[in-house]
Amino acid sequence: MSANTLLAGRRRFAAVWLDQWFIHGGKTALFLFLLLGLLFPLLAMLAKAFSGSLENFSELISGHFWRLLVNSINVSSCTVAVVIPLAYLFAYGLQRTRFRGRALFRGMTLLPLMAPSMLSAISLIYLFGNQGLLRSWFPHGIYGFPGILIGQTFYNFPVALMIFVSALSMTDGRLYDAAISMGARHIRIFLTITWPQTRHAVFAASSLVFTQTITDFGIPVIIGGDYNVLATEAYKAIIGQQQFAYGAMIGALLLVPAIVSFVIDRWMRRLQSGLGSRAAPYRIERNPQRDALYFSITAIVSLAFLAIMVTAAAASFIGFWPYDMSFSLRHYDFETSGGVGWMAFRNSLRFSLLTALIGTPLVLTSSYLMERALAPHPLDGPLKLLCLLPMAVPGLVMGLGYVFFFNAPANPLNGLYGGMALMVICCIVHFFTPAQMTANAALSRISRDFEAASVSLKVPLLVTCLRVILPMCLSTAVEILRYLFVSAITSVSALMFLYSPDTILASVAILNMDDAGNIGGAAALSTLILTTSTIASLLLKAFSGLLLKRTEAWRTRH
Amino acid sequence: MHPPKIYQNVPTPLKVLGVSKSFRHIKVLEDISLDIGAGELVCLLGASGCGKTTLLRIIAGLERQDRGEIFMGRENISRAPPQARDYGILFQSYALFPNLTVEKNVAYGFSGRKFMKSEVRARCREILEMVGLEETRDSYPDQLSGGQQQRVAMARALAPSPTFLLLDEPMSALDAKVRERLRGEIRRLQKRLGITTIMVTHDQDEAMTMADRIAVMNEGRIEQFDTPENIYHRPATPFVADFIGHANWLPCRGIRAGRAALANASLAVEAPGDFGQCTLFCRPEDVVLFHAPREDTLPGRIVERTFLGSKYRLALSLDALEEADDRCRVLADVSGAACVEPGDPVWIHVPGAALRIFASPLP
Repeated sequence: MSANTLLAGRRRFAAVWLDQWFIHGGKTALFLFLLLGLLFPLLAMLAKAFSGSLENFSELISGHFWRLLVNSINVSSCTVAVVIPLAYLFAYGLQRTRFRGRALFRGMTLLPLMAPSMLSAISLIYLFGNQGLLRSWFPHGIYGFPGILIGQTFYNFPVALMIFVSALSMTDGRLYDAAISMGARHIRIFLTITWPQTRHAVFAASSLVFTQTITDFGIPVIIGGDYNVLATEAYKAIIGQQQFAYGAMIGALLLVPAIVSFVIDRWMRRLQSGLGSRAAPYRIERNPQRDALYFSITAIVSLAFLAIMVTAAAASFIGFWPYDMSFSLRHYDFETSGGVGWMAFRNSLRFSLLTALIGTPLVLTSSYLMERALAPHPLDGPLKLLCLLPMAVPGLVMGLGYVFFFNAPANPLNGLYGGMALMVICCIVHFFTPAQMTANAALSRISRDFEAASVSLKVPLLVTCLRVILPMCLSTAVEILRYLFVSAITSVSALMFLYSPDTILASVAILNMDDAGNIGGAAALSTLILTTSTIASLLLKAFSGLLLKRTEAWRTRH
Repeated sequence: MHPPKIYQNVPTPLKVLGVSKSFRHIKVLEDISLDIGAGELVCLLGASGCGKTTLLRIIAGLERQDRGEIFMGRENISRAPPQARDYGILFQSYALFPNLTVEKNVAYGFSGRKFMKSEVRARCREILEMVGLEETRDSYPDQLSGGQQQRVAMARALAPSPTFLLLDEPMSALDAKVRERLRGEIRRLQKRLGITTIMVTHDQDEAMTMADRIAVMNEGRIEQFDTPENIYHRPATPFVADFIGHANWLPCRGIRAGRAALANASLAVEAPGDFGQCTLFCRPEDVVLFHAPREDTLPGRIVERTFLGSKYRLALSLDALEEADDRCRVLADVSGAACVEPGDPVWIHVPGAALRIFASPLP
């Protein structure tokens, strides 16, 4: 008896030790990771920005700078003004009307997310550029403001659409039944029920599109012409002119809209009331007129998306646009750019796989520690903030921060600079928040008693995590993997500053090729990325379906 | 060396000493002390928000008390993490792992420990047999009924032979019929294993039928910790009297020489001495009805009649209390209702022994 209790005691001690190690160690490691990968680079950039001499400030108030600022704000606000109503209308058509082919239309509009932002700009050049097939549509030329606006519209639309679709799907049918029974008309129902439920999403989407547009330099670099914006200026200042303080200052400036909208968004979220658990699903009545109207709107928009995507892909297989329209694979040789193309593509594949395969366990573990650890921890508060912060930091700013922090000779981590490892870390941090939010949502749906039951049975939390929690949210894990892979392979903004000749990525090579006038090569490489991420997404979706089928035994109720 | 045997638990007392807990500035538990005997089943009974679940979680180590100590046997476990406290727990949600079969759920407490596989298997069989679920061992939890799930959770909690058992509203998710059957099953199992058990519930019938002793809790304090009989018949505070079962309250102007003075009548009571202003309490079933005046009866009128299946509950207004408010209506339980209709005059008698005296005004 005494031997048994002694042994039981020792077991208990082992479980306690393992749990402590898992939770304290995990949280400390995550904290250090985000400190090094996010906060310090950000602070390094801010320090650089404010250490600037008077010379920089005089540059700030010069007319040139003001023009850039006005240009940036102009094109970003116009993008918001175009994308938001269009995406809202589209999402409303998908969620609140009934016609065939909605899933297909939605899939078509998601395509821009599968390629770097530059792809739409490249297509626009093929269509409306100096040698474009339809250049008569833009008599003053596509380059500059109209090109950036249209390119950004295509690139930002899917993100806004996703926000609106999820906002419109979270509703309570009972409210509509009540409104109809009280004789409310459509407009009134929209203004009193639908709009209040979705206005937060409109704000969130608007600020996201604005921030994304003002900090993106892929599209302006390709199609901007003489129309300079802040993002391209920062890029040129760092890459071309080595004016680090000036670049940092622009970076700090670009942080402003993101931080402001982040704070307002947090504040609005607090006001937002959640959906009750007794909410009834919204039933959509048939209405041929309305359905036909929304069908035509969504069909036209979707076809435009397909056209843009197909143009770049098709153009990459054409000998010499628009003079020799025969089929050719010569752009896929990448010989004019010194054969960098295939190496960049291989690097990109390796980079995205590493990001996805390292990032997914990291995101899941951090989400588990943040969501499901039993006891409060002193690092919880700072960690919560650090986990949300990546969302407020644009890729361009992140890249600048990495330059100033990791490229500093005094930094012992200096050796990482230019290597794949640092690029992977940067990418994981950059896309950390959305991935973690997805994981949090899945984990918070699982009963909290599981961990309590596990400790009462003296089983280490790590075992429960692997044997129970992970199998329960495997499809979420696959979705995070997919998100990280696609985001990594299409991302350019932060990585622009981090690569070395050996680790050049496809998305970066696209910019370089276009810069060198090799638009065919840029289109070919964009098409490769588009195809890769689309195939990867489809494969992972299929895999997820297969997993669901295999676990059907314990998911179905009798 | 042989792998260790799964050891058998020994009935162990549990002691809670002066436990207090606040969340932010709200006091959830105030100076709670409980002495639970070896092998005893104690119910923590109270309305939601009275702190009973918090107390259970503190005993389990899932929350940390601000002050106070907890002893398991002679071992002080006040600061021990939950993994180091030897208990099994059954949650309201059962927390069965949906992706593991019943048998794997029950064997979960042995994972990571070096037990012989055959022994673990045998133990699972044994415990599943004990709860009558040996055929379902290859099913998944969601394929079972609520009652079966509850028994699997029970089996999982008991499989590693914990020293004490914690039940957190174990039956609130079940139908009334199943609940009634499982009450008996859990109680028999608990007695058979002789395992010290604490059960949290808001269902007083559950507490009454199952517990050796009940701790009635209110606003973070224990109002009374006693046997079900004493809790029912000899409530220590007006709260307990009102919370458990149904109560009649008669405002009393004072007690002198064994007679209580009501508004305009008097009643015989068993009082140790004289009292000033106080309140008399009795249960509806203690009220005796007559159709004609007798010695020591109070005249009244039937206001309402409710059919309760095995009996009728009558609401009476007493002439003696007419000035007092509506809450002074007296409830009386009678078995036959042939000759009682609302409006009928009646005379009631309450045996002096059934009346309890509380110094405070109406609860």
